Amino acid sequence: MSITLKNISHEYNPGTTFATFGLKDVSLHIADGEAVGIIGPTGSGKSTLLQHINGLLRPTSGELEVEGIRITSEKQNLSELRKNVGLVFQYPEYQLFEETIAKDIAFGPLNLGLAQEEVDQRVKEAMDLIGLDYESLKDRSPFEISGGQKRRVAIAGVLAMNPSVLMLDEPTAGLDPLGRSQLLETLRTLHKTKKITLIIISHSMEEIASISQRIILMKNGEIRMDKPVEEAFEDVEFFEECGMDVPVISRVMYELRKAGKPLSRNYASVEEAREAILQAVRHA
Amino acid sequence: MLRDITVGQYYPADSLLHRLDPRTKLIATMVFIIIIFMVKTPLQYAALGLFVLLSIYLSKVPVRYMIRGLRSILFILIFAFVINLFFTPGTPIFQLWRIRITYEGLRLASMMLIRLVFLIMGTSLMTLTSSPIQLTDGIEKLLSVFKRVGFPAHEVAMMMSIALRFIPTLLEETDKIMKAQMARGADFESGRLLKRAKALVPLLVPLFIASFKRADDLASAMEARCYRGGKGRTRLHELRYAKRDVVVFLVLIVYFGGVFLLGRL
Repeated sequence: MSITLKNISHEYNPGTTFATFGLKDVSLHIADGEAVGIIGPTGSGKSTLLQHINGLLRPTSGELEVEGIRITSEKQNLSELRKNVGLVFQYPEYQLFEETIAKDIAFGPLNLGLAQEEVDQRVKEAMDLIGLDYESLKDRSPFEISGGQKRRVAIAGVLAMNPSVLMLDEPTAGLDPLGRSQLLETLRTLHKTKKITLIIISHSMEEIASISQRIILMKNGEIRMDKPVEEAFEDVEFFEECGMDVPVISRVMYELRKAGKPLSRNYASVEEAREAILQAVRHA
Repeated sequence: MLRDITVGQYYPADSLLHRLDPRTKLIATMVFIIIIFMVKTPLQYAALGLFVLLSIYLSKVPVRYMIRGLRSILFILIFAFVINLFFTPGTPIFQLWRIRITYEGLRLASMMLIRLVFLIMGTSLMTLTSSPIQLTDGIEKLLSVFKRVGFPAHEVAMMMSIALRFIPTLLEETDKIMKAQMARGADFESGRLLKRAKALVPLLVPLFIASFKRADDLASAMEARCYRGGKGRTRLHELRYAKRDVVVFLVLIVYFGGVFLLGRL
């Protein structure tokens, strides 16, 4: 199963003076188990795209097939789809509402109609996966823990539904550096061990480069670039033109190459770049 | 569903109604509301209907947009209509077992329906054509007459404008939390009344928490900018009546006077 979008367009407030295009003729295929990073300036349609894949928004025209379910502009029951496709919104901690953390995480599995034992099992698993201690936290209120932990609880609430596709809209926004790297590490492990498809929106190029295998750049509701991460940051001028920046290390490599150093490309990871620079130095 | 709520929203356009002084619109709306509940004959209703249609035309707000706003109060409209239709005593015109529709009931129900529709259209036309800031300024100016007896005109106007300002924000927030819970399998649309009411808990709790937090933040932000109420405050755009306001006032006096006289015929 996979995700296929065919010529998706979405218009907000059609027929009024506020009418704007959220997405314009977007076509896209995401294979099983891929880790895709979506970048782009604010208002470029990234969140709109994720909401389509989850069926929260229906396309104005075009159609998409997600995990074997077809979505068109027609109304339909999408509970089957939401079982398989988890979406973590921006600042998901604002959606917490239950008295205890365990109860809040159980909200999704319970909505799936699972038995209580199975739900408890899933809650425990999800908390383990995301790095929250089950015993000490399960009976505490989600409103008395720290912001980073709240974020984890909210993500656990989606993970507990056991999705085969996990989408996250700026999962690290507003977290401190430690919380950031811990969350990214968790997501990376999750992707590796559970083989789930990961789609992540982020404004941090380093983050995106470190977690995705493939980078999609969006602007004004269109896909402007779709490349494997190794090639994505080669064209620095293009990123600047789109109002974006490349990872610092790619920028360094780019400047070095511009200064005539014998380097072949702009790497996205620091380790690779280090190797390349060392090699170049040795050759010289 | 949420996009249907147009009460309190501003529809930016360039029209005669948009350019009018907010005080003119406020007074006109108030007079209009009073007139709605005073008129009795079908001819008067027709005249008021014509007035509403003309205003909508002059405001350049799409009719579809206005009708969408009515959809959100459809339940109240039907409720008021049905109650009046079946429970007004008088000469029966239709009877089936215990259910009886009287001539008086039909008349009262239709009148109530028309009144409510006019009421909503008239008032939403005012908010649609005036930005929240204009409205507040207008309300403050109108209420400042009572300042001398200790009435906090500025504070009341400020509260009103904050309330109006946050209607769209709250709707957006509701939409967002609703979607987030739907992504977790919440179902807001099916089931019986009790189940639906229960389904709202995951929506209302986060909404309340966010609102209190936002109110707190707003208060801090205002204090940080030395807000201390209306005393000694000057403004960038002073409200001034223009020639068109005078013309509109005259037209209104003649028109509403005419409507009033129609009832005496």
